Parts: sequence; C-alpha cells; structure tokens
Amino acid sequence: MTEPTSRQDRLHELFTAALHLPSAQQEPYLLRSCPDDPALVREVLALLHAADAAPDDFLTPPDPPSFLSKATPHPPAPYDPAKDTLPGRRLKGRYTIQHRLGEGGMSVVYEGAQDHPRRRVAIKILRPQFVSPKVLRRFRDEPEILAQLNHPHIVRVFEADVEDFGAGDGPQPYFVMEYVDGIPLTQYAHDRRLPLRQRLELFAIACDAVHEAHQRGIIHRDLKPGNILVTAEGQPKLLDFGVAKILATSGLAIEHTLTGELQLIGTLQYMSPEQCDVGLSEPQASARANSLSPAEPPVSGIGPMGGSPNAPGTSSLCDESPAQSVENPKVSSRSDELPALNPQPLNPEPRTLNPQPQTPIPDPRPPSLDTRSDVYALGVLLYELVTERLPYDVSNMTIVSAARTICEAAPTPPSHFDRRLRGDLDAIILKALEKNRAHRYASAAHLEDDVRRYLSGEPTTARPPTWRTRTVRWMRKHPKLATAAIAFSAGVLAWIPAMLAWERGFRRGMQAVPWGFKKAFNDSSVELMSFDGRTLAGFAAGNGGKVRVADVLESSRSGGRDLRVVVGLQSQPLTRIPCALTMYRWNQPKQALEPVWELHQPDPGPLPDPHDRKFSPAAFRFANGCIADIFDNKESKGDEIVIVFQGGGFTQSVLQIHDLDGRLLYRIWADAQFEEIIWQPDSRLLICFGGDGSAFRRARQGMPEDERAEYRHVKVVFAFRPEFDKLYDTFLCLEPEPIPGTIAPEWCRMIGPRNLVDACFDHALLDPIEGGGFRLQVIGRGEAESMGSLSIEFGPDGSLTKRCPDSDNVKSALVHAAPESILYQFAHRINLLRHPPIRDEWVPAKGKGDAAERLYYLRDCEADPAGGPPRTHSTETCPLNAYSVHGSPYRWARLLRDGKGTSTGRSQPPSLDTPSSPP
Amino acid sequence: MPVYDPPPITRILELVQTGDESARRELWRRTYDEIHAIAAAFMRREIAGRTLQTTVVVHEAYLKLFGHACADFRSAGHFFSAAANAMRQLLVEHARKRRAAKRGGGIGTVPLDGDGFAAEFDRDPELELAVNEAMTLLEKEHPRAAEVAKLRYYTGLTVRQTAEALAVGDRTIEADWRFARAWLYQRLGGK
Repeated sequence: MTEPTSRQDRLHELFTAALHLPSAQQEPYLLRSCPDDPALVREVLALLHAADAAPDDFLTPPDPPSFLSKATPHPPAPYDPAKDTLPGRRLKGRYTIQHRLGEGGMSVVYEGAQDHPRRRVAIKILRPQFVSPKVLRRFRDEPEILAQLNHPHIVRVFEADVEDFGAGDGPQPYFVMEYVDGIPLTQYAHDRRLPLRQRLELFAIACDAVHEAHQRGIIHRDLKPGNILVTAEGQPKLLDFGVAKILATSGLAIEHTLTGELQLIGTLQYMSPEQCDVGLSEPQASARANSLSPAEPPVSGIGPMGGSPNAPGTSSLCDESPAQSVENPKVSSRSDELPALNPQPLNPEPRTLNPQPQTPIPDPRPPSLDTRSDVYALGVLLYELVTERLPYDVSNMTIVSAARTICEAAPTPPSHFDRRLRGDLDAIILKALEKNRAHRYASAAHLEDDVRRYLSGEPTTARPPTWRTRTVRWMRKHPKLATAAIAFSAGVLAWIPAMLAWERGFRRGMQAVPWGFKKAFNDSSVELMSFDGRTLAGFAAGNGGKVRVADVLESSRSGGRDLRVVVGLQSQPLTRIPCALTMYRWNQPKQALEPVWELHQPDPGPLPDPHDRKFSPAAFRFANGCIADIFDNKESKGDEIVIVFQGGGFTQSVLQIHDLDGRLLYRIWADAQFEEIIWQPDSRLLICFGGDGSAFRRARQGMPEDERAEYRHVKVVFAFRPEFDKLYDTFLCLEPEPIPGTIAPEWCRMIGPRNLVDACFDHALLDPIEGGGFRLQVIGRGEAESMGSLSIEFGPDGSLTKRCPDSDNVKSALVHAAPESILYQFAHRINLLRHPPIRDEWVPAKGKGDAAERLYYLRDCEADPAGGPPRTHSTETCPLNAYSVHGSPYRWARLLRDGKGTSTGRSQPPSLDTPSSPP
Repeated sequence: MPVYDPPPITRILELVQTGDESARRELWRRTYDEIHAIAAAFMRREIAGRTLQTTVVVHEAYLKLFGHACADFRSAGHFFSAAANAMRQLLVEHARKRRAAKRGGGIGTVPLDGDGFAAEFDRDPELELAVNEAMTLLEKEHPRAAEVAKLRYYTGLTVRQTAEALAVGDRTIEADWRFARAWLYQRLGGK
C-alpha cells in the first residue's frame, strides 16, 4: 500500500472507531490515538460532523431487492419454542401470553388468556428488528382502525400498549384483540364441500363486514381468504387491518400520510389493477416483490384452494406484511400513497407536475385508491370461492408481468369451469373484477346486494334480466296471473301485423339516418354531427347540458361492426352534470348504443384562475376535438381521441388525448381557444385554429384591463407536437417570446391584426393539403356585422404558401364579402363534413321568428371545380330560433342572412341573399 | 433449436470468481444490456408501468439473467456489483442528458426527454452528477467504502445483503456505509 492510501485507511479506521463514542469523547479519543497528526484528527472530526449533519434522505437507497432474502445463505433461524421467553409472561397484570400462533413480516402473534373476563385473546407484537417510524406508525394504526369498527364479523381489539419484553430490544408495541379460531374462507368452503348457496351466503356476510369498514372510511387493501376466517360456528371474521388505509374523508384522527413514497401493498393475486399498476408505474413507487425467490416460480398460479397460503389454525393473524411465504408473494414496500392512474379512464387525475418540472415532487393530494379496490379483491375472492381457482394464471410470471396480466388480461368467466355459474353469477363476478373501477360495484354493499338478489332469485344489477328470464321469474312468482296474461297475449297477437306496418312506416321516415343510429337519433337529447371519423365537434355552442353525438368511429378492425360513438356533453355549471364525454358502442344484436366509458371535466387543480373565482372542473366544458392516429402503434394501438375542454368565460382550454378506451395519454393546458383541430400525420403536428388567450394570462399577471385589451381575441393558427404519456400542468403559451414555465408551440401564426377585437369567426375549417401543409378557410364577421371569408394555405412549418386572391390582407378579407365560389365551396364542405345525416330531417322550429333574423341554409349545393358558382343549390328559410333548437351545425347559414335585416351596406352578403325567393 | 448457446450467467459468475477478467467484462456487459433494455422497455411503456423504480429494474434484470435458478448469494454479489455499476452509468447518462436539455433546451422549461426517462430516475441531475464524481474519488481513496455505497445507493441492497455480497460482517458494512455517506456528504459541500 502506498503512503497516501494508508493515511486514508487510518482516516477510515479512526472514523469507525470514534463513530460509536458519545460526541464529547470523540475528540479526546482521537487526540489520544493519533497524537502525531492533528490534521488527520481534524479531518476525522469533520467527517464525524458530516455524518451527523447529513440529512436522513441524503443518498436514500432504493428499496432492497428483497427477493434475495430467500437466496441468502443465512435464512432466519427457525422458530424455536425452547428459546422463546415470551410464553408464560404476564402483560399488564391481566393477560398471560401462551403460545405463538404465527408470525408475519412485521409482527408475531401469540395466543393469550385474559384473567377477567376469562377469554382467549390474540396478542400481536411488533418484531423489534422491524421498528422504523413507518412500520411503527402502521402498527399503531391497526388497533386504532379496529377500534373504529364495531361489527360482529370484524375482529375486535381490546387494548394496545407498549411493553419491554426483556429481550434487550426495549419497549415494543403490541395490541390485544379477539381470538379468532377459524380457517380461511375458501378452505373452509373446500373442506366442508359447501354448496354454492352457503358459499355465497358466507361471502355476503364478508361483504357486509368490508362495507362496515368502508363506511368508516377504511379500505382494507389486503382482502384474501386468509384474512377472512370462518369459525367453527360458521361465522366469518374479517381481520388483519395491518395495511388498511384510512380515506382522507373519514373522521379518523390519524395522520396517515406516512411518507411521500408510494407503495404497492397487498397480496398480488387479490390486488386490483389500480393497486398493481401504481406500484410499477408511479414515480417513486417502491415496488418490490417480497418473498420472491429466484428459486421458485415467483407467483403462485391457478390452483385448487388447497394451496391457500395460510395454514389453518395459525389464523394468519399476523399475515399483514412481507410474509416469508413463497406461495403467497406479496408485493409490498414502503409508505402509503397509492394513486391509481391507469388503467382508469374515468376522472383522469391531473398529475401534479412541479412548476419547475425538473425535480419531481410527491403528489400531495390524497391517493385515489378507494373502496372499489376492495370490491375488486372481493371479486377475486368470490371467483375463488365458486370456482376454486384464481381468475388469472400468473404462475411463472415475474411481478411485473403478473401485474400487467392483472391490469390487462380479461379473466376467464367462472362459467368456463362450472356451467351452473352461467348468467347472473358470471356477470356479478366479472363486474366486480372490472379493470375500470367505475364499472365495478360502487361499494361492497352493492356487491353484497347483488349476491343476495341472486340468492333470492331476483334480477341482479350486474345483468339486467332478459325478457325471458324476467318472464320466467315472474311466472314462477305469480302462477295465476301468468295464466291470465298468456290468454291476454293471445289476443294481442292479433295486433301484431298492424304494429309491424307502423314500424315499417317509421323506418322509412328514418331512412336518411345511417342504419346504426336510429336509436341514438331517435333520442331527442342526442345530436348526430359527423360520420367521417375526423371531426369530433367543431362547435362549442353551449346547449345547457345537451348531449351531442359528436362522432362515430368505424373500426376497421372488425369490418365496421364495431361502431363507436363519442358523445360530448356540453355541460354548464348550472346543470351540474359532471360528465363531459361518453363513449358508446353500438350493440348490433340489441340495436342500441351502450355506454362504454365516460370522461369527466378535467380538474384544473393548481392552475391559476384569471378571475379569482372558484376554479372547478365544472368551469370547463367539452368543446372540440378530433380523432386521429396520433401516437404510432408502438405506443398506442389504433386511433386516439383528441378532446378540448374550454373554460367558460375565459380563454383557457385543456387539450387531452385519450385512447379509445378512455385512457389519458397526453394533456396540455393552453391560454387559447381551440376552434378547429386537425392532425397532420406527415409532420406529426396537431394544427389548431383558435383564439389566443394571452389577455387572460396578462390578467393573471396583473396587467390592467385597458392595457391588455389589444391582446383580446386574436385569432391564431398554431401547431404543437403531442408526446406520448406527458401530462402537463403547465400552459401552452402563444406568445412570440418563450415564457419560462410555459410550453411554446412549434409555431404560431396570428390571423389579423391585434386590434381587430371584434372580429368573430363564425366558422373555420382546416383541411390537409398535399405536401403536408393545410388550408385554413374562415368565414367570419368583421366590424359592424360585415362578413367575409378568407382562405390561406400554410406549409407544414407554418409558412404562408398561398392566399385566396382577395384575402391578401386578412382584415380586408374580413370586411369584404367573400367571392361566391369560396363561400359555396366552403358551405358545401361543411355540409358534407358535418351534417349530412340530419339535413333532410331538419324541420324549422315552430314559434315566432323575427323576419330580420330569418336565415337560410344551403342544401345539396355542389362546388364548381372551375371555381364558379355552385351548380345546383337551393335555399330555405327558417327562423333563427331553430338554430338554438338544433344546435350550431347551421350556424354558418347566418352568412346568408336576410338582407333586409342586419347587413350594414358596406358589404352585402353574396348573391344568394334573395330571401323572398326560396326555391 | 438454439444454435448458439451463450454461457449461462451462473457460469460467468463462476469465472468471475476465479478472477477471469473477460468474464467480468461479459457480466458487466450483459447486466448493463439487460438493465438498459428493461429500463428502456419501461420507458416505452411496454411493461405495465409508465415509470420505473431502480429496484424494479434491478430485480427484473436479476430474474431475467438468472431465471429461476437458485443463485448462490456470493456469486450474486458479483451480479450486484455489475448491476450497481450499470445503474450508475444509466443514471449518469440520464442526468447528463437532462442537464444538457436544461441548459440548451430553449423551448419552455418542461423536460422533453427523448428517451422519456421516468420521474423516478429524475433525481436532481446536478446532484446525481456530483454524487457520481464524488463516488469516483471515493473509489480511489476508499475502495471498500465506495463499493458499499454503490451497492446500497444504486441497487438498494440492505446492509445485510451488502454484507453477504461482499462476504464481510454487518458491522463493517454499517460503518463503511456511514463513512461513505459522511465522506460524500462532506465532498458535496454539505448538501
């Protein structure tokens, strides 16, 4: 060894030796040991000081890969009753510890006897080697939680305290609870060969117990057969709240956000997709697979319940944490936050991004894990109870792929194993196992209810009865009435031919509507807008909660049979309808639209409100969108849905991209309105036309009203590039100079001068053109109700490539009448693109129509390829209020307003303004 | 029918134990490739999650490389050594990229990582690079303490597991860890 190295070694040695001394003795000790080198002493002292000063989180190691624990050549010593000093020991002068029942990762459970009243108790003691503040807190929470729960089927807690058990570990916390002498639910059912009915009855009781916990705001999080023991009397008892989670809304006064870290906790097979997914996908998640041995298949697979992890009798009272069991791997780690982001199409939680997003910050909001995760676990339990198998074969999978299976694979219907389960039970179980928790039972009570309905032969909510089963059920209940009804129906048969005739007539009336949508169209609250698979909704007119069918997707995958419809709800704050968008699927056999998923308004979360009001999701409504293949197939299969929610009363929007399952893939907020969006696959840019909201950003920054007036309502075309899986909580900002903390678009072009504050564009249309560019066509009103149009072509980089001859100057284009050709072409396009299906059905609204407000719409017009006037066209008039009845698709027709009414003379509407002579 | 059978990882570990330098390089290469591939797959969301956690990556790499064969912990120690180096390199590469993006980025200030490194990996890039530099110095001056620090910090081994991997006592590891922490803390200017 060289000289400097040995000095370094000496430094290390001295440091190590002095480390354990009380700080006052360190310096004298060092001076004594090293009298010749005061500099070294100073160095060691400085290091010792640094050791003290380093904060706990300095160089925090990640969680240990504890799958190694099995591979260690020194497994923990097997339990040796001879060495256990605890049995026979007295506690608090009331309890006698008797013998060990079992142990879990964190704790040991003993059976004990209480003197008065005399009864058997279970005493759970925290293992000294696991005492960390976190574990301690969780351990102490458990009796607190249990004390809140007063239910005959939940284990009761008697008391909790700390005691020095004399093993040199100092005082250890423990608690005393009811002794449950039982065996795991599934094993009980298996051993006794219980008939289906009794299994379901036991299960219903367990649901009730879980629901009791939920009522108190407690999620169990580790429901599995081993935690629901059935006593010799056949009474199930729910136990082990060692990883239970207290919901923020509950009244429990336990500060329960243990740390900022995330956790994957629970037993894998019973874990809901949202529990699984988070551990592997959340930042800072400390997923690890405890008790995963490389020597063994990491996850036990489908198997008869004989393989149930918890041995009978040992009661698995202590099974709450990283158990040593190989067969029953638990994924666990530290802390308590479990925000489930995916797959969860509903209410995509805006993820909190740091304003300076370089450093991730823990999400301070309460985790989104909720009681429905327990409902899922109950579903697995029910599955296992009736089929004696687990829903997923995750044998031989690593934790990650097992989690993926849980998140993605569809479970085999229970009836596959037992045909008796067909129908309602299948439906109940599959509903409880839904990946998307919004589709699960809302609570354990609902699940219980459905199971009980099934038991009593009533229709279940999971599977609304078919007319046949309903009839059969009804006939069983009311045999006399049934006879009468049959006689009556015979008479009714005579009517059938007449009814059929009526229906044929009805169908004829609906001819113009595509075959798939009669039902939807028939519903007056639904409006069809587009079938071209491109435009979701170009119009943002608020219709007070009116539903519009905004688009139809025809999936090429299934030859057009898998039709889907997106319905955007123009909800207003007043209507208090939270849902903003629903995806329906066309059910061909039933000839009906069925909701698949729905999206709620995005939560603006931490974003600043320009007006200092309460800034809630209700302030945003669905405004615009399109469907396109934004992310290539590697990332996301198939098309994506681009949706814009527009803030009401202020120019702020949020654009979100979802996949067809509703999963949120991208989000960006914008100080802008999105009036038209197209996707340019060549340049991979979203091209948007809309209004710049910089005025509102300036308002937020405190610019006085008069100064910011010139920034208002500037029309812009801009482009940005969506990125897969980015959820920004920052704004896309359309300022010429980049502003820190915001995102700049790829490019942005202003349409019209800034001071054109009154310019209002009635319609804009973006169209892709050859070479990756696009064309913007706008019809709008300029100052003093003048009208005009413009047509501009842009290159993919936003460069101006061509203008319409008379729109060299955008402002002049606005104040001059558009040439007929453009107008017709434009109108024609709108017609074709947006509302062919309802064109023929459109009936002018009844009621008084002001003559001045009569308007026209074009029908069947065709653009002349040579640019001349349309070849055939017709006009009709209808009162303006029809417009509000039917929504905005015909808004463009205002251009063709009655000349007697409002035109100002400076610019007349084009030659079609001959209202007195509709064809 | 496999035409070419690469030597099983356990064989490589045996060779590493005999001091075979090429086996060491092979182990490092395979570990790095595996860790990199897993990390990249995570990033692309091909595996369940959006983001990943150091431990999960190491864990997956371990299972991938070792299959379900029982590995003797002492040889696994070599794996972890290689894994620690691989993780370190990955984190440093990432931190460099992020720092570059931060300085030259221009557009906005939101990280727009091409490789989509997950937030878990997004430790403060400056700190990460500083730790890396200090770690290199520590390796020179106190190799054993540095080894301990790397195993703990980059692969998340516990004190116990580190002790087993390096075949020394728990107390030694504990002292080395505290020494390394103090030393690095001091070197990083108290923060």
